[in-house]
Amino acid sequence: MKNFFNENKILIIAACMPIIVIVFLMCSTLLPSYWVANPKYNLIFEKGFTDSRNGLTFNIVNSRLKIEYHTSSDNNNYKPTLPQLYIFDAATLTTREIIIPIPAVPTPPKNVVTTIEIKVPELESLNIVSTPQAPDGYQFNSAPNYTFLFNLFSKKISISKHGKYILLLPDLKELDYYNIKFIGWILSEKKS
Amino acid sequence: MNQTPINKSIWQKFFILLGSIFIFSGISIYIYNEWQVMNTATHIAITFGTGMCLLLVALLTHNDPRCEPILSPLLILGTLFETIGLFVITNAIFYHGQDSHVVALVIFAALIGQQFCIFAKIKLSLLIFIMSILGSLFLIILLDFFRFTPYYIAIIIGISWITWAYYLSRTKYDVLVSMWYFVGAITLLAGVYAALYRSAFEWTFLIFCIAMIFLSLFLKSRALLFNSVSATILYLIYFTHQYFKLAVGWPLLLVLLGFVLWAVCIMGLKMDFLKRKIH
Repeated sequence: MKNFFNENKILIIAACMPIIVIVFLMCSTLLPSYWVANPKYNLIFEKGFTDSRNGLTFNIVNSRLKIEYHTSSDNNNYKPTLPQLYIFDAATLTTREIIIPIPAVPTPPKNVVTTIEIKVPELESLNIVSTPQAPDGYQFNSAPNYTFLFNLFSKKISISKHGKYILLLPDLKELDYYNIKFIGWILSEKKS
Repeated sequence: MNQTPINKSIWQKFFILLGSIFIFSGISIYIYNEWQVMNTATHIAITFGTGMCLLLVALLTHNDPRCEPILSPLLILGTLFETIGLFVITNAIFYHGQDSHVVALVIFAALIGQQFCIFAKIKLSLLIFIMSILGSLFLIILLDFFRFTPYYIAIIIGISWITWAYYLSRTKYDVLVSMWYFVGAITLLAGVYAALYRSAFEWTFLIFCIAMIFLSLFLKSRALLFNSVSATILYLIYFTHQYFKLAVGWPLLLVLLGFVLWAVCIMGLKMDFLKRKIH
């Protein structure tokens, strides 16, 4: 047995090489979660297709989220799929959807777009910045530029800092991945 | 009826090749059909597990003369499934949106290291081939990581394959040298053409093809010569079609140029002959 190991040392190293890779990947994924602190700031993002003529748009104006509903008579039969708004809660590391109440708007005349601002009480008092990096160093990982390697791995939306990754929507469908849009980091609740 | 050793060897190779194809197809079809109903553990077991088992069998039986004929298929299939398995494991457990290049580079670096270790013990040309493939993939990913455009990647890969083939031709592992020259030349020519396409210097592709013909003669490679000559002729056809569609002077000029080159060659040979006579 000892002879076998001595004679085939190099082959044993070869056979162990994939295990070494797995251990390396495991360490590179798990270890940062021990020494990198959890995020402090909540994150707000949208999933879906925004349309400035028929649908919802989300914009940051004066550190406040402005939600606008647009409707036009472009195509009366066209019922757009409205984008969904999500909040990532840093305290519980979970993501939840915020339901936006859509008002009933009469169809506007031809070539006119009616825009109505929607107020969501939960979001009114939030101070939001649209910089990709939060003050605590976490950054939102959006869809990367297409390369031939792009399809090798599953599409995952996460925030990360120094090798620590936190998934935002673990059950994200591949098609939705391309329609995820970062809105901003919630710094605090506004006093006034 | 007496069978010659050559016939035996051909039949042996034929059955082993056929057997390998069936085993590969069987496993692949099973994975494809059942993938959706398998859980993560089964995904890993069916890809990585299969690869590791095949590779371990190859490593444990490499000394046994009875298993020698199946050593190559075991190594190829083992490496293939192991590579797929490593990507499956990474994707299922460790991947959370990191740069896929870095992950892929780590995997390929380890696989190259593994093949190198096996080669240190089992001297097979096949392992050089597997290492070359893995090395090429590593280089392509590395260049893509640095955001090289595809045609620059093709040029660099083409040059590396030709250089690699030249190096291999000077060793005893020169079985697949022609193949590397062939694919290297195609990749290099395609890359250069793509880089020059519709630019002010597109015509320099012809000069490049001519330089490649010279290189093929220098390297004594028929595969390289075939590709270079084909590229030259195809480019001349394209060039004529683009700029001299109905011109009579252009084909005449080409023919004249051809005769001049022949004359220069014959004169050179004559001078060489005279020189040798004087000495």
